Amino acid sequence: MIRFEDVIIEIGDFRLAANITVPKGFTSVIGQSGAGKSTLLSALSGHRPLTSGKIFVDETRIDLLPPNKRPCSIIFQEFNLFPHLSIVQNLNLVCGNKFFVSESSRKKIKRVLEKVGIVELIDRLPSEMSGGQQSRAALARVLLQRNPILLLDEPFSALGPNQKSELIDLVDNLSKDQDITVLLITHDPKDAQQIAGHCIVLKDQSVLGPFETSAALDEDGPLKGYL
Amino acid sequence: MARSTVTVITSVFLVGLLLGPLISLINFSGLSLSLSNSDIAAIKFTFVQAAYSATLSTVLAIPVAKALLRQNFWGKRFVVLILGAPFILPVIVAVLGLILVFGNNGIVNNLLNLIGLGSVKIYGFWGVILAHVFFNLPLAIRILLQALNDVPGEHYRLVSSLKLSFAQNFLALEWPVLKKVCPGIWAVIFAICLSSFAVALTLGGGPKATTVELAIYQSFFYDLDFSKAAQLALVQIVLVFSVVVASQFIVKPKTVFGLDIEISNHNISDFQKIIDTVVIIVTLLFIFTPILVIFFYGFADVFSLPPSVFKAAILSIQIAILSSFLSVFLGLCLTTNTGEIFGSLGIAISPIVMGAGTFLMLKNFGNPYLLAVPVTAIVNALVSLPFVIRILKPSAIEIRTEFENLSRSVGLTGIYWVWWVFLRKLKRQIGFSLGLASALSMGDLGVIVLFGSGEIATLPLKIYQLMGSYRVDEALASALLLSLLAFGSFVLFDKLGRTL
Repeated sequence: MIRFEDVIIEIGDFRLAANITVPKGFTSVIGQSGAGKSTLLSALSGHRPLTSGKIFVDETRIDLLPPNKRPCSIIFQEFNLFPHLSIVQNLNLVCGNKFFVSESSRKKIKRVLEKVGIVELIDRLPSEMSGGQQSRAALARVLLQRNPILLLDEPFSALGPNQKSELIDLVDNLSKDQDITVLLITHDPKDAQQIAGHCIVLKDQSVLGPFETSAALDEDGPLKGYL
Repeated sequence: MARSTVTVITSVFLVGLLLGPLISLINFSGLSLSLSNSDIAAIKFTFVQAAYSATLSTVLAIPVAKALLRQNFWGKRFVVLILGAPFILPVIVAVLGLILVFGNNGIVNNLLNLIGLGSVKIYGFWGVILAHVFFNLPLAIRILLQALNDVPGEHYRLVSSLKLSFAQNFLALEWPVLKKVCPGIWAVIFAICLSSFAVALTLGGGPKATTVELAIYQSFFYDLDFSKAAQLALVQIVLVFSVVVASQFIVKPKTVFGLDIEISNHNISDFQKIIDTVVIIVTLLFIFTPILVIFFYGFADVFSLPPSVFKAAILSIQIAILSSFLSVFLGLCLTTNTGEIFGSLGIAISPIVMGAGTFLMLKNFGNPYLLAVPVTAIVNALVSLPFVIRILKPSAIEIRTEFENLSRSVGLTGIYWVWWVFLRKLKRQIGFSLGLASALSMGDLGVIVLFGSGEIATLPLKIYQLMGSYRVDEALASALLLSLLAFGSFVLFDKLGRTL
């Protein structure tokens, strides 16, 4: 459970207020372009400071912690992998020994790559893989990080509809397997409908919700204008 | 350790390295300034030769850059590429080459005598200017070419459609660029020539052609007047520092280190084509004949050089490796705006001044000659540091920005970030910097003349000694060896950076 308590984020003229509790499970984050979806996730992951307020995960306050100490993993729209490092080197960065890839790390990495279906690409560079395969590699790293919260900042937006659907299903399965709370930013209500039980909506400089996704998409729901 | 902490520690280290010699100079100068007539003549000559060199290099570069911009010919990219060669060519090699071309029995004088036009003199004022133009003309051409090439092609097409006169054409297209770029080029070359030592040592000298740097060396080496040397060193610091500060108010030209200048082509008349061709050929002959004659004359004796030359070559290699790695290490620690300011302090304090100060400082503790190798390596590293930082900094800043979020999200910080991201992404620039720093160090004839001796001599010093004892064939062969080492180390490190 993630709790935003009287959170205010200000960047120049932009302002976003959040006073909500995000339940466990899969939640989609919906809002118009420029509403502050990425800003909200950046604040949660520690990449952007709060102007005021607090963030709690369960009962632990996390907004004062540096990004790498927070219980969150994040996958961005792009630049999720270091392009000059092979997949095994990329994933090794979140394993124990950080100067070289040990045999035990390689085994561990192989296991998670099997889970995301790209074990045969372990020694490839990201540039030698498709967009979907890169997203799977980024997901594998998330599994290695073993954080209870996964933030997805439109990571699949550049993929075709089938690949995107496959990856959302994969995230859903992994999140259920590992008991991970997922926040997925999406522009596409279909993504929200496909998987997310809940959604939060960014509108008029505020974060609203959480709502049942189906209810939010109703004619009288908060996403009426958005649709 | 945070980036800012690394910058602060490195900057403090650098300031310490420079302050020690500076304090020694102040101590030895006795805080008094009694300049003789010859000292004043040296100051005057330093300014005059720098002004002449800068003006000639800048003015001569204009027609050459325009010709290169306008003409397309096979190998043009290669020509522009090798215009960067004189920058890393050891001074002593260039001087030998210039003597072979313009000296008493050189190619030019032989031709002039043949047609009864008298002769040119390589030693003295004009020899110093000639050498400085040789080194700085290519630099000026490359900067100007880049600036002229930045003018959008539409402007050229528009002007050609208006059928303007030559003067109108010049005023519309080229004058705005020249007005903006030339003062900066002039200032850079002026500052470089102000610290001229090796050229003045070999082609200058005497009451009419002594720079302040050379006067410091003479006071130090021949007169053993350390107080005078210290006073002159302080004068030199003030001169160079004033020029560096003043040049900050002039628009700085882009530093052109890369070898990938895009060149446009423009429609021009046949007459202009002929003129441009002549300009390009004469320039290439001026720049590359001295280098080629070294290869031609030096090749025969390169395999029969005495062991002392190879010993000097090994010492040069050792110093170049030490100094290039130190320079790049310091450069990597200073890839911030503040770091660049501290890293450029070495420009204001020339190698001879730094060497003189260090010598006097070490004299208090023991025999300075015993520390010739580390002192030379450190001073050479500081000399190449401003160039190294200018190569590394833009990419380093880009890497930090590009990978900041990803690095933070995977908890990659400190030494691990340096290992996995910074060094790997910067390897091409690191290779290029190592190549440049090692080539500059390899050819340096600066601080080693103060610390060197018959026993401890780098290859450039050895060549100078061979020239002094009229062993010209050995000097030429050694110059060829030195050129190969300088260019070889540059190519090797650059290649490693691209392929590893």
